[in-house]
Amino acid sequence: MIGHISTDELASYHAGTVAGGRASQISAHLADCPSCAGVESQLGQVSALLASVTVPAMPEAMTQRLRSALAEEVTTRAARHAAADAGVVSRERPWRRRVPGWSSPVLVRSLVAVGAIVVVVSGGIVLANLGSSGSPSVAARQASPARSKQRFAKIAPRTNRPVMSVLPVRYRSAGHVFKTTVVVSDLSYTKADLAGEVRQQISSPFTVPGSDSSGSFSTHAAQPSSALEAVSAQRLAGCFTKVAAGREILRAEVAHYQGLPATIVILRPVGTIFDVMVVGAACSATNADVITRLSLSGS
Amino acid sequence: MPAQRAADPAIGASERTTDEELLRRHVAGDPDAFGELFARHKDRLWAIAIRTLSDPEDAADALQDAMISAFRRADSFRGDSAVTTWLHRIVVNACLDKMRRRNARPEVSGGDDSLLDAIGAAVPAADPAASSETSLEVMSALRQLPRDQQVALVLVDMLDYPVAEAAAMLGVAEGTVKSRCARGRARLLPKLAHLRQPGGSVRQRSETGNRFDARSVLPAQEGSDEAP
Repeated sequence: MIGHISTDELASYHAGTVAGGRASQISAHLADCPSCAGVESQLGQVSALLASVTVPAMPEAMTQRLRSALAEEVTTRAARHAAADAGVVSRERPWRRRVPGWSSPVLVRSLVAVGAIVVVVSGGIVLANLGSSGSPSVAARQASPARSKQRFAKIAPRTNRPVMSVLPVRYRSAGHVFKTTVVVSDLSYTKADLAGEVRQQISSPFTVPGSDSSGSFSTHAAQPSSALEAVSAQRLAGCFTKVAAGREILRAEVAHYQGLPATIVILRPVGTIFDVMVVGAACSATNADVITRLSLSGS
Repeated sequence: MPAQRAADPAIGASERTTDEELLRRHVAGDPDAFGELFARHKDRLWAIAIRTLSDPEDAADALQDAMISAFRRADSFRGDSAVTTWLHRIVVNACLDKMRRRNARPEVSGGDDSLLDAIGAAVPAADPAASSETSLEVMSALRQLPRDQQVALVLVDMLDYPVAEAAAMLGVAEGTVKSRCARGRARLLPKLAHLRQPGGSVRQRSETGNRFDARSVLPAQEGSDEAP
């Protein structure tokens, strides 16, 4: 005879993970001990209770959202293949991701053509958590994924400058390494329309997952295929570290500002204030090369 | 007829196409194949996400991450498991990832209200029983378990996946899954003692003298719950 058996051991026995001799002992004990047999039976009822929890089918809103996300993937892939077939894309790069909502064909060119970077840093609101497999960012976080499309579409066709590429960039801020995806759009922003464009973008009520939720540029992301781009990505990394100054970059776009190459950086907002910095082609770890900055209320 | 269909998978409606074939077509550039695969399995995948993460917004994020990842990584599928297992595994990993992150950062952003509303409204409609008191209590007790035990129980007990399949999804040995389930059940036992189970009647048993929680359940150790 053995004494009462602990619930844990009974659970193991019940699950079939108790071996040989001990299992026989327990089995014999259960035949003689109603108390232990009762517990063993109750363990089975725990399973039954778990099984009784019904499981909902995927809600329609969720299905739609996922379908939209997959449709975006299909479009991106098709565009990439078409571009590759047409010889427009000289180098196939695994990291090249479609920016949600940027519907223009992605043409890959060297970043030299575009010197300027627009980085918008804000907090709480995710404008575009671009390129991540996560990118629950724009399309995913909205009930209506069409929204992001509209938003970006307004910009791209107006200037007739397609998004050329996206570039993952890692930078440091407040002791952490952040990853952001820079859009290379070759758009021309002007002093007159910058605030309006940014305001339009930040007015959308997305909330933002943390920048790290973007997750998944693979390791390929750090291996640009041309030295030029390596330099550019590296420069941006330094630039962003300088510009972020302890904050997080919500969005960055390499474009033009007032006809000059520039990067527009939107910082994660403090409260409801979005800080936007436009930095020039010389922006680096040591020199922010700020062309202009503005603060917008996101509310 | 069924034999003929099986012999010639290229014939006929898409539901006769195997998952493997759909995935192959997707890799070959078929724009509809992955969507079909998704449509076939979405409810099961959603079940895993919503039952492991509970929060619809988190579940939605995890599932979307997983689907996009599967879409992009499809060419890395080597056929050493079934396509469904592969898909499930990606989803399970995304959910575990989400759970980890959530623990690391307890405060969660509010999410998109309209989406939350849409999902919140859709869940009870699709599944009135999900919000039953018993289900809620079971879910709430489940959430107090260590992550690994939660996920194992969701897969094996709640969603009725065979242990071998759950093990394949989790990338662990079958014994590990069994062990996690065993520890999880032992922990749940006192927490669920008061619940009457449909048909089985947990309470009756206690009324007839077998106290449901007759002895103290050993405090399960935090941390490692692996099989020896």
